[in-house]
Amino acid sequence: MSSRFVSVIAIVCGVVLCASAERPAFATDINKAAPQCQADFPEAMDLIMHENNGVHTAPQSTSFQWVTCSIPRSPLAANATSGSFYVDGDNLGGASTTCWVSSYDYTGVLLGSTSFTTSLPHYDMLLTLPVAQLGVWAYTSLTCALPANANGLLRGVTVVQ
Amino acid sequence: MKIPGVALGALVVAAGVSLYFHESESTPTAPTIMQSASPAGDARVAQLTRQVEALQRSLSAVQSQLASQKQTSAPDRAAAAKDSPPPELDVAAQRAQELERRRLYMAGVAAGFNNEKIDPAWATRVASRVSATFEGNEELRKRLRGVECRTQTCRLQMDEDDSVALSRQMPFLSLSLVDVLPSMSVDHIDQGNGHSTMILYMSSRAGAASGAGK
Repeated sequence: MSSRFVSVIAIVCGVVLCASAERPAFATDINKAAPQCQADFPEAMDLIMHENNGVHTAPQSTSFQWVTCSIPRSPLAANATSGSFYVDGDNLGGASTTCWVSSYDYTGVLLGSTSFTTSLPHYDMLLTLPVAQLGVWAYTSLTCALPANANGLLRGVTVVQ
Repeated sequence: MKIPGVALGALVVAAGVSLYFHESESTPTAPTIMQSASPAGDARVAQLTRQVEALQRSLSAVQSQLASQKQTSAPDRAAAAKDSPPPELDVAAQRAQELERRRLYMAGVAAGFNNEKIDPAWATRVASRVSATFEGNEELRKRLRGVECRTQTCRLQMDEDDSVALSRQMPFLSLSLVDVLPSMSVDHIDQGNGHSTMILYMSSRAGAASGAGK
């Protein structure tokens, strides 16, 4: 009887081990909110405002201002041909926002970039770079020219993995 | 971790089932005293038998689920095995591989540009925009060595060095030309004297789309 009990325990342990085996890990999308974005130039630091839902220029800013955001990412899948990025934000009063995603090699060499400009009140833009510009060792960033007078909010960027 | 975990689990289950039934088969005509003498023992055995049957059903379900997952991911894995570097490939080799991939990509971009027909109207209009952009920026202007536009692509050649002066100007270049040349692929040719030539293939092909399907 006791050996049968041991057998049953062994079966239970086996089933538990099977059921709890790790599932394969896949890269997933990464959302990055824009409050982490920084002014590109020191003279603009006081003209960039960071809110909990994004970043915009200060009301007293009379011209557009540059911000750059880091884009965390994982290596693309082995069979991927390109990488994509969604950039989201708002324009107020007919203002327009221009953004581009750049990719740099680990040595600092610019590999490529892709950009958009939009005056949509709410934008959700998809940018794509070829895989040759998104190597395992490449760094990517988002740079935007935000409209003056707080007339545009950059909400964030999503890396599609 | 996944495969050893499953294998270990399956092994333990197999051992448990084997041991359980081996014991049942090896003593079919010689029930233990406890079995024959105790109705409570019989009930316990029956309960354990039911548990074993339930566990066997669970195991079958898990096995079929695993088989299904393997079948689904088999093409992906095959593709990954074909394209991805083997695990023992070191960083230097991996970087060399990426460099080669980039070289091939840029060779394709250059060939595409060379094969592009010339649309005189577009080429003149966009080359004029590019020139105006460079004229309006001292740092860019002094580095520009040539502009050639065709139907949807312009090739710009610029001097570059180790300073950050040029990279600081790239946002202005992108901003000025985003409406006509929104995407760029960049090549760098080492001149061997601490300087290199940056070749920008700027294209009118949209690198962006409204993400309505997100």
